[in-house]
Amino acid sequence: MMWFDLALGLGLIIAAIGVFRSEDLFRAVVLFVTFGILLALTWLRLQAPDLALAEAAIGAGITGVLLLDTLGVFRQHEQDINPRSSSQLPDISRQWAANVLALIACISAAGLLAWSLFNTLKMPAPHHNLVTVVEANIADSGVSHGITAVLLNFRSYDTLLEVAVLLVAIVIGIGLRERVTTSANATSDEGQSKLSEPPALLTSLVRLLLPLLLITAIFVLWAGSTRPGGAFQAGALIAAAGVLARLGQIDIAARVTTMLRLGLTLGVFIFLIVAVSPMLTGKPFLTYPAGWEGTLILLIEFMLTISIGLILLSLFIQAPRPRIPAPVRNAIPATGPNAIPATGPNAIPATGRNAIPATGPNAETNKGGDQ
Amino acid sequence: MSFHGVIISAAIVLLFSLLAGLWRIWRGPESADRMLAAQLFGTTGVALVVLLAVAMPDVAGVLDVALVLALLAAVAMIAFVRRFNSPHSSPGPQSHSSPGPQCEQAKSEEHKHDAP
Amino acid sequence: MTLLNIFQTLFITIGCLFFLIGTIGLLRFPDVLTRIHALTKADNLGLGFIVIGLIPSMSTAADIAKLIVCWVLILAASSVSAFLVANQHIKKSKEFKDHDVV
Repeated sequence: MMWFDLALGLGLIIAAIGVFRSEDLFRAVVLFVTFGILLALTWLRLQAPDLALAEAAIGAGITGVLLLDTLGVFRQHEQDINPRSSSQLPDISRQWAANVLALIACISAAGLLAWSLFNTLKMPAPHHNLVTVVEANIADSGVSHGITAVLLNFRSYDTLLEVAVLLVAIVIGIGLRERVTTSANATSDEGQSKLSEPPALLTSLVRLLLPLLLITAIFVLWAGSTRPGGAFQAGALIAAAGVLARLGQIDIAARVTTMLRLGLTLGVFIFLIVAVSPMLTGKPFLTYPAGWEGTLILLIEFMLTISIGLILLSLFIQAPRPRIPAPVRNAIPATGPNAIPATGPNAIPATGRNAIPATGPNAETNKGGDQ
Repeated sequence: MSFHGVIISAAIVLLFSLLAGLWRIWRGPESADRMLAAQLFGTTGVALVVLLAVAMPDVAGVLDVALVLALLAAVAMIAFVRRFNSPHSSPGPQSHSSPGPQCEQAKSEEHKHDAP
Repeated sequence: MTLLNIFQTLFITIGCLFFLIGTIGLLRFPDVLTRIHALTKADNLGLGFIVIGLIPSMSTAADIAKLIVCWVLILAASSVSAFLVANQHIKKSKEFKDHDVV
């Protein structure tokens, strides 16, 4: 097993370095998704299947699709003919000051980590082992899975705050988008990316996947009481279903309607009601009445799933599209700090891998529309 | 070699296969090569998780992770195909002053001409 | 190792072999279309063999169902994705100008 773990760790480092060293954003996104999948495997090896589920669903899944979609929209509007400029990050690795600073930062961070690790290993074993404490109290919590008991009973305050933060994020996202829409020309689908008519094969696959995604979401939600699962992962699956519908040209949630607003706030609203109502009878905040814990946890999780799914989906759909500036032919000046010199490490060579060929599929010709 | 050892060796082989496939993703001269990334990760990732499910039988819910990963890999593949496959996605030299409905119509008409 | 384990080992080994073949094809084939071919067909077949090899190790019928659903899903999505990518590549590439495409 050790060799597998070593290879996994090596793969993680390679993927992480690759994300930062890629000059092409597409490569960086692909390596980021790889990193997410390898991280999910790492969580599994560390015996944390809930984290692996969350990482697969949210980290590698939804975030990967969101990044890809943004990059795709970015590329659809890419108008600058210079292949090095639009979707590539500036290459600062040649500047020695940046290198020295980065080196100092890395050495300090590594030193700090090593020092804290050393001190932690020197300390005596803790009195309380969290796992045993949770398991001692799990009979009172209403669920039989330790992680769900901690998230939705013992530390439910943290979960409430997390979902509130998500809600604030999407409110800001929607608010920004409304502003962008009214300031630009407000055609009916302004800001939405232009997708061509999907091929029939794709529509059939979408029709196969959508019910499967929704069923799996409900299963993961239900399974959260007894095995790894829970509201966040189920919400991510619902968001994935919405994203899939959107990609398959099924028009959902295109505008911010009242139903959408209701769905977005439902989770926090119900959670708050359940949290505050014990206070009417004199009990403290977030106390579940005895015997009702299991039911209330399931109710809260169900509402949270809907909300989190709609929030993640709305971040995908409602968030403002990148404002692509109008193309400027002289964007790359001939001199100055941003120039591309004729020679040296940043030059575009006349031949070789990075060259712009005169013919071939990647050539830039002056004829339009040779698809 | 015990059966457990077989599973671990298979997992190591798959992991190296995944990392080796990354090289093609990195180098791939065509854009189509990068689009295969989602397929590579989806298939190999699900295989790895399924092997880990058998290698670590005391951890519950690993197969659920496999199922969720398979579903999301399918969504990611569709996202790749939709976003990077349309006629818009080729790094063409066209310069439009106003991207918008005209662009879409022009492209779909060219699509129809290409089709026969 | 019991006899069942030996059969499982056989299937898993064949599956890993297909994965390796697919990766070698992905790295070494000269053309995009052949690379797509190698990746899709070999890798999915490898996954199928691994799934079949692991079915006897599952404890409940639900686990077996999950395994098979995973495989069918990846199979369907890979096939559709590979076809669409290859189709688009043919449409865009000049060397196939006169061929019929769907």
